[in-house]
Amino acid sequence: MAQARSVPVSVARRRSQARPGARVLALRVLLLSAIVLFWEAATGGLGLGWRAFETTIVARPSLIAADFVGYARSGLMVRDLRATLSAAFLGLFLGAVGGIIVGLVFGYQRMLAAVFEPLMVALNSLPRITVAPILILWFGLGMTSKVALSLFTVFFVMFFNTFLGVRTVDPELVKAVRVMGGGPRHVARMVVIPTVASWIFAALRTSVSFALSGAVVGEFVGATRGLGYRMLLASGLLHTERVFAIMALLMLVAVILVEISRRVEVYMLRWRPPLAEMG
Amino acid sequence: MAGSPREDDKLQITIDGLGIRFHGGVEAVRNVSFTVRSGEFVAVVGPSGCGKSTMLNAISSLISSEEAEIRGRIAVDGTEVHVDTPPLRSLGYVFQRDTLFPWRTMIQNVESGMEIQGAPAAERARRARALIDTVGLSGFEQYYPHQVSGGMRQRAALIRTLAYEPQVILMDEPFGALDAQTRMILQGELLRIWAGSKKTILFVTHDLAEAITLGERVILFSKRPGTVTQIYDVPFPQPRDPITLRGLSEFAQLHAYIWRTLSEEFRAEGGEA
Repeated sequence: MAQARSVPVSVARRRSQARPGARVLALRVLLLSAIVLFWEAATGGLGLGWRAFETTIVARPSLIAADFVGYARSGLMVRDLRATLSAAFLGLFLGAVGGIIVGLVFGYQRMLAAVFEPLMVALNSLPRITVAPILILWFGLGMTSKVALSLFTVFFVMFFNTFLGVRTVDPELVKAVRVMGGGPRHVARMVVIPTVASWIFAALRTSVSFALSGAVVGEFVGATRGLGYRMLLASGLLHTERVFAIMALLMLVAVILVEISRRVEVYMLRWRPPLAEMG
Repeated sequence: MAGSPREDDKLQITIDGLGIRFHGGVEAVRNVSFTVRSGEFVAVVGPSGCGKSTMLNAISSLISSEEAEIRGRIAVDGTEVHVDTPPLRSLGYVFQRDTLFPWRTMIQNVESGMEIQGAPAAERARRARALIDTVGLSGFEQYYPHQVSGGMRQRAALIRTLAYEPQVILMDEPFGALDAQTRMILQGELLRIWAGSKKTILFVTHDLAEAITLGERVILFSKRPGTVTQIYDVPFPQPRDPITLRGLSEFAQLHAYIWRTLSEEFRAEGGEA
């Protein structure tokens, strides 16, 4: 028994080793500071008189930060952020629901899946953002076209994962449920749903970043508000600080969203062996 | 050496002229007949691929008529088993692989059979904990299957089946994937549990030593298509302890005696494999 008890302990140890030490953290801060300082200096900052880049081409970090604050104070940031995130989340939600439903249907209806396979593969291999112009044409400059682009990009990720999830259901586990007296409802609840859910949660991170880029690219192509629209506008006016400020904002938003989905994934899939063991 | 049936005991499993042929052309078993009494522990031993597992699948209605043609008669507890009918509620089946649900904790896994059969939550938890105690899994209730050893997983699979109290338990080489020591420990635990519960057990294995350690009777299967070649009584008294048992000269003698017949089947198999 003593031997068996050591198993979970070793699992816990391996997981904690994945956390970076204080030294790595210190070096990361140092690297970031070095980059920002070099960048500041190379764009005419720090009073060194060095101007490797024109500030209309590469904006100076301190001026980007100032513009960021100005953008936030003007109230435009909240408006743009709201527009972009609403489109992204709505697209994520609708795309996920659609992808999961169609994935389930195709997973069970082999005939249907076989007939539709070439179409799905062709649509999926179409570079996703290239449908943006036609969506603008169909749905106009408002939010609908952005939601549609987000939905389209997320749909295929969720569809393929759900479809594969249904196909990878372990027949031995289905047998186990059946010999214990379980019917189709028990098989669904105890085996199929958990299997499919694990594939869906594994696809969540990709879907979230796809949804965000779908919304922003949609705004590039044609919009009246949103982060992508504001960025394109600033770019046209050579307002380079604003372009960089919005890029920084998008990076921040993406990091937060991806980290949230990573945590959701880790929590939902906590029953899985650590990746290193899955080899 | 055939067993002298105790007339007063009721027959729990009756297999009569069973033949299974897959539509692909493979004949798995041919004309198999034997009976198992209520509360009896019967081991079936034979070369791998001799159709032993297929027979268990037929008993538990896991083979559909789309897969294979089944002849003859199977009755459990007087109820006829037919293809394409749901498995009988009085049956339990422990597979070679533990078949625990990886997304359920150990205790949730142990409760899953009772859950299907509709036992109330409090009752499930109480029974699961009691069984977890008897096989030494206490403290691991909240672990997921991947976090514990293969022996612990197979223990959990065993008590998951015991928990919903089927009268008849089919076991398909449940200890086959375990190391020799763990296997003997689990054999001992199984014997202890069986002695306390008086379940009827039909245990399939390709390991002759395991068969005569566990079984009150040992049914010898031929190579595919599997048929019953011999049925031996195993006279060792209960309760048995696998480790002591293996030290007895009677054990070695019986093992050698049955082995002579079985080895011919293994030799014959060698040519095909």
